[in-house]
Amino acid sequence: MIHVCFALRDETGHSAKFVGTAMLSMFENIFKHLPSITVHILHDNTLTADNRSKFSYLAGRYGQQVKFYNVVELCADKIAEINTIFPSADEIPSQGAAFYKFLIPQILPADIEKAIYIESNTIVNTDISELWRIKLGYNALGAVPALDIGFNLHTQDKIVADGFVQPEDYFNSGVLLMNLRFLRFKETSIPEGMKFALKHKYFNLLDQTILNYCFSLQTVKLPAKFNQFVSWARRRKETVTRKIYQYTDDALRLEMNEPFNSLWLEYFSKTPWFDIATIGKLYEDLQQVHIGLKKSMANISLVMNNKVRAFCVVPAYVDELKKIFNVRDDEEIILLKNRESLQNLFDTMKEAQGKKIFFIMAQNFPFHTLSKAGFVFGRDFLNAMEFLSEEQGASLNSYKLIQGI
Amino acid sequence: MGFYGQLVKFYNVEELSADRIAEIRKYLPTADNKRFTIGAFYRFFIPFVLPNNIEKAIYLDGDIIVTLDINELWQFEFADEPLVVVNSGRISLWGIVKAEDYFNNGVLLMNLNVLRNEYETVKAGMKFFSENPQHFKWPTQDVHNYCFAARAIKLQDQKFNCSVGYYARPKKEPLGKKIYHYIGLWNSLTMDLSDPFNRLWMSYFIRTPFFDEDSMGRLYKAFLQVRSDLKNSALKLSAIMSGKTRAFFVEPAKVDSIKKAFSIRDDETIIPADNKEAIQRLIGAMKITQGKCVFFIMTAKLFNENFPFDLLTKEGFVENKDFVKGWNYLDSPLSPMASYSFIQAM
Repeated sequence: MIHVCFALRDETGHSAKFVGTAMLSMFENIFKHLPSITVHILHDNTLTADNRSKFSYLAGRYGQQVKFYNVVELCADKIAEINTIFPSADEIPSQGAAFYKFLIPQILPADIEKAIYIESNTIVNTDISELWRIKLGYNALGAVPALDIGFNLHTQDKIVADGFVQPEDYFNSGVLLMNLRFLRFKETSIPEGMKFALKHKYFNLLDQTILNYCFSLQTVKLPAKFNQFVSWARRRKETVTRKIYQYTDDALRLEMNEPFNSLWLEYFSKTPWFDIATIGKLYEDLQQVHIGLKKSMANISLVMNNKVRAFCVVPAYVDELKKIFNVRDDEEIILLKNRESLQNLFDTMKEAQGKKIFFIMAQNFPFHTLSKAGFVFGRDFLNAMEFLSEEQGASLNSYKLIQGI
Repeated sequence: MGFYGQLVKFYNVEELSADRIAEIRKYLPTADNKRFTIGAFYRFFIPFVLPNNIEKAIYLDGDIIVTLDINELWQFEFADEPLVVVNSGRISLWGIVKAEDYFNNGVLLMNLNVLRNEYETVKAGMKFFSENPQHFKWPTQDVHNYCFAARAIKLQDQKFNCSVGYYARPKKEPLGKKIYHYIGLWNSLTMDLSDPFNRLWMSYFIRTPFFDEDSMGRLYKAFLQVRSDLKNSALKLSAIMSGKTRAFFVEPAKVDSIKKAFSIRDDETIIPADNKEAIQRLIGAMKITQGKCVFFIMTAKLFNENFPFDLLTKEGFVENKDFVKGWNYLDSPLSPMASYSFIQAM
């Protein structure tokens, strides 16, 4: 029997589908005879009855098993211990459910000596038993080194820059093979790791930092195929293959012509979360986007009222700007060539204040400098990028739509 | 045998009934138009493409949901009547067919034994309409009624052909065991799933193989097109407004809501569309300010008629320069037409 753990905090009720999709992908790719997987879901009081029954239905449909552990009830003492170390653990970004993985050794029955932990925004596009078969010996964990995921991924964690963990030993904690027997003996390690991270204010990737501090030298380095980031795979222009993929950093979108989006949606469409409510919710959210756009159009007429347009753009995009905005000859264009151009822009805007409205078309433009200089967004200037459509290079962040369904 | 243990057979009528299709195009060259394609006539070929040992058949339009047991319709017996139909009860065919006989031909129980000998009747019907196009509103339905309305068995129980748009929704009927007909799809079916009839259709659609992950992608892509159109409109509006002020032409009852939607200031002109002379006041104001002001016409309809934009253009005013169709900039939700287009895309 393969034991796989997920952690779930679900304030909106819409996060369960990510765990469900990861589960289904795992069930679809296992080739052992049934039942071969027990999924252990570590959750809190935000797990709804409806989502719980969907998890059970899903496991049943594939002849597998699922068990639920309410950590708030079962691990109150451990959570209290965490809260004494981090009094505002909930406020530190990415914590909450991320800490539940620390509870796995204590919460799973003592006769289970090994478990896999998988982040929720993951697709297991390979047979999980390949990972399960790897022997840990006297090591605490098995994990894929961050260097094997992205060449500079380790630099995001200061614990490496400060020399506490070597770059080649630093691992990503999104997919872990856990030696529960070992970890049960090392119960004090995690609290010590927490105190270390608190002392050095390593809050960026807190749970991952703690695990690396505790176990980077007692971790078997897993083959890269057991943990890849979609964002890095895209950067390297890779095709979808038999791997475990994490969809970090909003990597998931609704554009179906992209193979990694298509991969996730294909699995999602087979889960009980892909239902009429999904379509209805997606449509409602599209309606809100639509209404927002219509509102902004009425606002354009207000903002433009009795003002002439002027533009600010990098020289390389002048022709494109002129075409998209149908710029007239009497409408001024200020070129953003260098730092001095900003001052030129400020001076021009000051002179034209009240008579012109400046459309700034530049990626990563420092709008705060305009606000600091006393100019007002929606009165003196606008972000021209917000006017652009998909084909003009400004795509809608459809990950928010997926989160919402 | 498929997923539901039933059978399906396919008949390519372009191959099997090529001569009959040619005849239809000869008699009714306008039959193949935007709303009704030549496919609407394929139901006339059923008696001739189905094997002779099949004596009766039910025909259903594609815009239908069946929530009753179809046996209830199948069990009706014929003598020598050609069809069992549901009386639509609303319309007649210009005195040719009485209202109590006129039927919607989206749901038919067909007596194939009789209809196999009635092709000349159908041809006569098509010939009549080709010679009298003024009677021609619903191509296949009018031909069907012309040929068979008087002889058909008419069911009065609307449950066998219940129009979602015309009957069920206005009466706010609860869902029941019926054959629901989403006549004029874009009027009857949208993605607003708070409506029980939309929800009904969608609840069946998602169980078909036609609903998969690609459906979501296509829905999203269709929305992006709408978004793109809006973004382009916003771009155009910024160009139209550059260096100009605004003024509004508004029905008195809507002034407050329009003021709020557009954040209209006190010093901006609002011309109330309160009577027929208001258009002249509008034109007068436009002449005074020409070139300096963009007029937002908020009245798509004026006194139950379409706003007479030709009166403005006759005076030399240009749309999207001197005036705009202001209702396009209101924060209205996606139109039913747009919503239906998403369903089509899925």
